[in-house]
Amino acid sequence: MIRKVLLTAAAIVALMSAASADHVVKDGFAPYYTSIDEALAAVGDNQMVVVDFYSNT
Amino acid sequence: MFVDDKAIEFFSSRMLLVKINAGEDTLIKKEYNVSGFPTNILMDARGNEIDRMMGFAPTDEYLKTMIDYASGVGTLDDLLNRAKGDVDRALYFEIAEKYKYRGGLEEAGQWYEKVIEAGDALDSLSGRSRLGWADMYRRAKDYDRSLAAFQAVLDDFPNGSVDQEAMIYKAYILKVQGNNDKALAVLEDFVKTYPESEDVEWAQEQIDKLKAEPADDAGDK
Repeated sequence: MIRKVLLTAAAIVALMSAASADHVVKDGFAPYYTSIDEALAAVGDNQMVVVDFYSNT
Repeated sequence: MFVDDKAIEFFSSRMLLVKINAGEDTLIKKEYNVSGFPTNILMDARGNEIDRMMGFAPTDEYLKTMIDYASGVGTLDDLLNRAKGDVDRALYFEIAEKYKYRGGLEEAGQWYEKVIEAGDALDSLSGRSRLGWADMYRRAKDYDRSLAAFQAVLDDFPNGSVDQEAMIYKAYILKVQGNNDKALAVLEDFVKTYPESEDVEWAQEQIDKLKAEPADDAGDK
């Protein structure tokens, strides 16, 4: 039973992660969005948005 | 930089960070006039650009710049206001550079011209303005015009840091144009002329790479 609950919880977490694919939160790294529109939609009072344009090439 | 504790705290509270791989997403790169990496653009909540920062910087300097920009310090608008006072060529140069990085070529050209007109046309700041001008065309991928502008800098500013930078850019453009033989000759000249330069190691790497590549078939461009 406990195992089933844990598996369900893991599945829910995975679904939540997939639903917020534009917002990446990783340990040891500044949280970031991958979409400017998503960040602008989430911006709070007195907050601003910084867009880091980078290239791996 | 974004793994630093200060940056993590900053982007968890004060500002939201967006990371865009503009090397892959070239449309968005064009939309925001991004001509080099990294480019960090600060936007207000409506998506209006407040200002941008080019290149890498230590975390403290980066965060301070963003905080300053957010309070209107050091932004293009701020500099333009300050330029209404006494003649300040260094300030004019800073404004020109800001316009250049935003893709405002006409405005950048006008401010570079003001730097030159307000002082000695052959001093170091004029030389840096001429470099900026030539680099402006390079960023716009107008390579023929850029190459001619860098060559004019080389003619007018022989020796010194301006000359060194112009040589590097000239070699870079020749390489982009497929003129590898000429690029190689410029780089070899650079290493010979400026053996103490901090760019020598990079130049030597490029020489080695060019020599390892197949023969140049681009002809004279």
